[in-house]
Amino acid sequence: MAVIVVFGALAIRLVMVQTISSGAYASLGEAEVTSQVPLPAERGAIYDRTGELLAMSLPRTDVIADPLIIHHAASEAAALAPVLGESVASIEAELTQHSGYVVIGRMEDEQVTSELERLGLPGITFSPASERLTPAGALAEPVIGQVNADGQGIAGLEYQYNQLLSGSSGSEIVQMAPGGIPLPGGSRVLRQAVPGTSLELTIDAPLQYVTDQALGAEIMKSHATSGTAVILDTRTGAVLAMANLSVDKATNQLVEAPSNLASTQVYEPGSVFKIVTFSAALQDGIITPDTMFTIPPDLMLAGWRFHDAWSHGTIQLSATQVIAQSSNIGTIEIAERLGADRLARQITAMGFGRPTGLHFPGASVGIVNPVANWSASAIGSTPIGQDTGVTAMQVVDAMNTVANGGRFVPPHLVRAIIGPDGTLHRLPEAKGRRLFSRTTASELTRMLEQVVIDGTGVKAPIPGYSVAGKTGTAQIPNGHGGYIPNGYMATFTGFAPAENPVLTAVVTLDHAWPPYGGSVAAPVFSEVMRYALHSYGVPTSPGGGITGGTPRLVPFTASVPDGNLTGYVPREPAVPGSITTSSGSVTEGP
Amino acid sequence: MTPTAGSGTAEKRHPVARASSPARMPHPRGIPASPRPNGPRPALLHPRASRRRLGLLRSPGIVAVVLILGSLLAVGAAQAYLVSGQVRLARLDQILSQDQRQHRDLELKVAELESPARIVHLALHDGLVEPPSITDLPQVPLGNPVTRHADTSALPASATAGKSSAPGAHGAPAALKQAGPGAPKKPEG
Repeated sequence: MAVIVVFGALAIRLVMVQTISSGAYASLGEAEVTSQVPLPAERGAIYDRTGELLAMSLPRTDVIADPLIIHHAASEAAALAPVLGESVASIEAELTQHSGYVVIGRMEDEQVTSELERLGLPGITFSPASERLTPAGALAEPVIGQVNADGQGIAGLEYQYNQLLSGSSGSEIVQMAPGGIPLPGGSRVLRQAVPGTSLELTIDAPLQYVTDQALGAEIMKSHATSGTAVILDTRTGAVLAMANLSVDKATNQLVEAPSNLASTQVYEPGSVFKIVTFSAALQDGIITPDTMFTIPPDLMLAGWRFHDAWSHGTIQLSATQVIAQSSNIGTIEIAERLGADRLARQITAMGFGRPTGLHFPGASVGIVNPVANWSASAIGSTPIGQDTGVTAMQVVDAMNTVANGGRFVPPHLVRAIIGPDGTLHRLPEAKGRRLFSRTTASELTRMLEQVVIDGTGVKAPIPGYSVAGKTGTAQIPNGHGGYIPNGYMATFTGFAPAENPVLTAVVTLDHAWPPYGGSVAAPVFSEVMRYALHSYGVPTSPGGGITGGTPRLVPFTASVPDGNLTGYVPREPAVPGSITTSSGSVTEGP
Repeated sequence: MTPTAGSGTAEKRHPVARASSPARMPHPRGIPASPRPNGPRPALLHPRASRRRLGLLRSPGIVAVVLILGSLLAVGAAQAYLVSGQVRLARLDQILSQDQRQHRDLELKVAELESPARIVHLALHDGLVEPPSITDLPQVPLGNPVTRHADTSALPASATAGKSSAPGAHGAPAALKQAGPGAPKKPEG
């Protein structure tokens, strides 16, 4: 009887296991032998506007050890060492760690991986991964950005377009023995990864390189701590070059800046901000280029004394001379006629305190005080570029508005996307908006040409081309309501050819010496724009340029096989002499 | 077989020949005789032997076995074909993967070779140094070329010395005409 009961119980249990609970037990058993291997999607590449490769991913295989199930570490290490090219001792040390996941190698060569797989060592598995490479080195690195060890974008465009670039990961479910060896004939479920989309940037790699070189040379020459340079296609707003360099304090070597300073670094713009004041005044008919102003030696506003960068008595200057010589007092007089509200509206309209349209990660909108918060002296400090924080990108956008005849064109860095199947899709260009009339822009352009002809920007001319531009030299706030002693931000922004603008650029240098935008930033502007204009085959200006930009010529003699050649070459224009700033007297070098 | 009236009569007359010569049996009365075929007589059937063969085929067990064996053979053949196809597909995948890898390696190599920094480095190494200064030629409007006479008139006397094809000479006059004041009147603020 008892036997019958026992057998009956066993039979019932058997039925329960085989029928009612069979699904649960089957899945438990399957879970013991199946393993899911992620298949990372190949990350999209990044190209420049000519199709030059700037960043790409190459597949690799990570060799992973599970020391918890490796019982003969010494023998496995001996087998792995010659293939991995490492010492037996170092591999054995890795195989004896108290961990279930140790990466003992990253293989780029498929043959080596196959050789390792053939060894069939227990506890050794392989995981597909990828490696991000930049064949042009660090060129435009702050713009392109970086990816982390998992291949995810963490900065720059790699971060901004991470979702597009990443694609969609796949997976492979295989049945494996406890030793990590795939079961022969075991089931295999494969979900293919979808490769990421590639980006075609507006950046021109050769121009980017030339810009890096010119900016870097000036940074080292002027002992600046960092610098930026941005070149735009005037009509489309495409960013052709965006250089961000800094000096490594530890090594005193020039390196790519840790971030895209042109979009992230906020500074007081100084005199380049005067284009905002002048554009509003011209638009409202408050001034014409020939309106005369009486400029006193200094001006008191709410207890603050404003003065020009050079000492003078009471002088008469036209509006054109005010901006060409960058007179602070003349500009304040114009701003007072304009009024705080109108000036504040123009500041906002020209893109300050607003996103630029690049939507670059970490980009700042700058610092623009609402007019309600303006101090009594703000009508003096704001129109000359103090009390306001801007980025170099916003400055070049504002100048590009003048170049475009008063029409703001949003900048962009990505020209097209290239799908996994190789299909190229051009991105639509953002619509611009008119900020002021074409007449206003034309008048302001003629005034800005005088800056380069005989104003503060005489080091900016480009031989053969007319140039319009504006210099800026601003003290750097110390964050406690004051300014850093002898700390200046030098800026030059302009466009060429002035009569038919094609390229717009900005150059800034931080803590340069001499500190003036016209001394350190303007020459960089001239050099990179000269290269760019020639590179794009832009016709020279009628008459060889109306801005007197061609430097004086000096004779030269060169030896050739059949005698000597003589001719004339340009020489550097002369430099200003002694000037006085609000922080004291400074003498420019040769 | 149920005997008929006619066949009963034939058995009485010639009992031995009843099975071997049924054609000779007289036709029953009232039934017209069919015409005798002229051709050779068809082969005789053996009903009992036929029934035996049909019986074997109709045996469900044997049919099932045959079907199962045939199916197994077909499945085996299909499996073999499938496996060989998979092996071939795997090989092609491997070749494709290798080619793609090679393509990417070459793409990377080309990009490295085309890197501006590398080209400039090699150019400088080969002696292609940048000129200390560049003289740009002025724009000459079509139909209104600048004459050499006009060129040299603007140059100082020393400029006309030496070869007329000296580089920079063509660009000099216009450049001199456009030369601005050079030094600024005032530094910036």
